[in-house]
Amino acid sequence: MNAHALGHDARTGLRFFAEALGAVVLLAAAKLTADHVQLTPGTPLYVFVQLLPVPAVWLLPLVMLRHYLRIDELQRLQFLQSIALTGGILAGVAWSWPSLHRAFGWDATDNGMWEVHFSVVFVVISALVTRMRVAPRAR
Amino acid sequence: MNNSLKELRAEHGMTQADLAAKLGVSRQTVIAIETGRYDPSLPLAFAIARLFARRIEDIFVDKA
Repeated sequence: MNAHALGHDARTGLRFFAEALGAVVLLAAAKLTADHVQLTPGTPLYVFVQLLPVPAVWLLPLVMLRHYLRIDELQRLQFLQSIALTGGILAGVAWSWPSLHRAFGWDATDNGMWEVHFSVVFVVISALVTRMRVAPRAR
Repeated sequence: MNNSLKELRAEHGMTQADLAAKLGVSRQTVIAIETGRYDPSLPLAFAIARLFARRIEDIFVDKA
């Protein structure tokens, strides 16, 4: 199936998915580079490498904004619901993590990859929100 | 809110995709409105009424 065989809605969704995936991959690569490349602190190259994740972090909101401007009112409602639910779930996890850590000794090896977690949870929540709103009701 | 969008669309021989294109929304939104799962915004309701040359209250009826 090529792009022309897809409907407008599916193309919009696929474009967002591709752009968001690209942003997340770039972010993960920038973070890995910043964390693992051995450079002397204080050198211009060190500063450059440490700053690599900054534009990558802002790429994701930019992609989301682009998508928001492309979609219609129902899709915007679902999109905002998905972002709100994802933010709520991740905030709940982040704020309850210190208690879990103290209680069970679980180590937070997250290493600042919340954006990746956000993306994964966001995809799942989006699918659920879209399904709840639009899928035919069971009769 | 109940609506007669599906019947109006059929009267005018339009597919959901045709209607979506004329209204500038996705087909998903047309389906959601027709099945009563989504109540459109006032501007979209006006656009629908204008397209079919009806009044909003002729198309959208309060369930109460």
